[in-house]
Amino acid sequence: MIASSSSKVVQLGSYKASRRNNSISGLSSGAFMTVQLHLAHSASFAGAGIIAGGPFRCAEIFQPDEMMTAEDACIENSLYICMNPLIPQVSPDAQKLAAMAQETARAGKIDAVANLADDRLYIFTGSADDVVDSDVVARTRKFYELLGVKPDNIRYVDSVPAGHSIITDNPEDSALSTNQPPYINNGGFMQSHDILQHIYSDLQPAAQSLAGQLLRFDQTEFFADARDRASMSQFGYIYIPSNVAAGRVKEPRVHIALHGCKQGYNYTDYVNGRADIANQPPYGNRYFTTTGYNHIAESNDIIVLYPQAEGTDNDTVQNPDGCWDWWGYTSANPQAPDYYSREAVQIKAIHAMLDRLCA
Amino acid sequence: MSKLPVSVGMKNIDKPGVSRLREPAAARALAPLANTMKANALVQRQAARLLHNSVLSAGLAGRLSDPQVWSEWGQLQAAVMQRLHQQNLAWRDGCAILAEDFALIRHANTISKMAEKQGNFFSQWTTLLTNQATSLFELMENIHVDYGYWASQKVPRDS
Repeated sequence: MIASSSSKVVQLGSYKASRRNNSISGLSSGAFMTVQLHLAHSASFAGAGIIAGGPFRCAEIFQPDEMMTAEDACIENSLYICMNPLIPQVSPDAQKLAAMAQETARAGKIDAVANLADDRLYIFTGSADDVVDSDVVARTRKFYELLGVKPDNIRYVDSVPAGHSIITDNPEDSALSTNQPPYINNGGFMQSHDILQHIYSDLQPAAQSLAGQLLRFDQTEFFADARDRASMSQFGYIYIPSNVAAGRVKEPRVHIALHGCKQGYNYTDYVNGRADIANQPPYGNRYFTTTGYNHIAESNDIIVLYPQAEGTDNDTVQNPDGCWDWWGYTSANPQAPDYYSREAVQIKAIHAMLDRLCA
Repeated sequence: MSKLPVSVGMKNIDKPGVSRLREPAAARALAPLANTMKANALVQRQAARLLHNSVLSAGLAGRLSDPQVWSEWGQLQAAVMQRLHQQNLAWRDGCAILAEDFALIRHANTISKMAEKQGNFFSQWTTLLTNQATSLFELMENIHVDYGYWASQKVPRDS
């Protein structure tokens, strides 16, 4: 796999990055994780881009009775309420979830919700998306508005006839209405540019070519205390723009880009329940090389961090598609799931990476 | 080419020390019993869901005159019919593709190719049946969860 011109594995470095003016975006499970990370560490972020993602803690929206365990309820809710509700009325209740977020903040598990007020949000749902229903994404917008985000700061896009995907202008990507891996579709524009342009309204156009460094780093140090349940890969990736690499930028901003399910660099398809190791898909590195983030980051001195989740399917963790955790599979105690707080394994790991960049 | 078993390995991405192959022999020996118990537990959970939903349905009796409840109930029915229609289309498309595949088996010009083509056909047929069954179970679970969630919001809180 070619991640950069170098085959080196580096330690994630420090760049004295901004501690407040950072941002995050993601697709699908990466979008659900974007919302969680944004809420958990809202003091660190100025905005977020959510492509086909639902509101905070929506997997806990419904607990039918005592016979159903919290773990089982979360899984069923995630599938049938947070992704695929039969009708709009059974999409996750934004009002209830906003109240849960307030309560979670009061309990000190996430940053103060007041930090969100002036954040800028890009929220997208393709009108042909049959993986995460548009009604769910509409609830995400409502959820943020209920938490005090100014409606003018939200760019909500639901008119593009796109399937479940991040959109690019690459001729080799899938047709726009496609709903299948690698979930990178050609819609004639770079969605990553729209996201960053909306969050930071003063950006220069994307660079035509890259002069910075795309580095592979060992991300295991950030979840060393929970390797058995983190479901994160050995390597993460980072793009360092040329001006930042040369030390010419004071307090560079950081954007965290989270891939969706089946998009991590070492994702392996499962055929009849077994990893298809002889036919690994050729798109493992596309999310961090061809989705356009690096080009607009280069011209605007923004560091782009690409943490990577990996597929795991064993007695400890059931996550064969390599999704980010938004229904509790990493929880130490499945009956009291913690996948959303500052102490959740993946959130803690990703934010520790951000802390390193800021040091 | 056949997808089994040459190109399909064991779960190489499993974490060291916890893969099924490394389970103690006693645990492997008990696997059939554990699987049966799990299946029973899942069926019981669905039965409990049905019971819970029945209780909620009884609670809805107090809102029989509410046109909004009837409207949303109708939308739920229509959504289920739409899903069944989509599944029927997938079944027909799958059968049409398999019929084409079956007709092409006669072009095999060696015994090994004939065996491979027949094997591929039966594998694909099994996959189609499995997908249909999985989709039906998904729809059943979807109905149970969504109806329960919907009804729990409609039933008056003091009932």
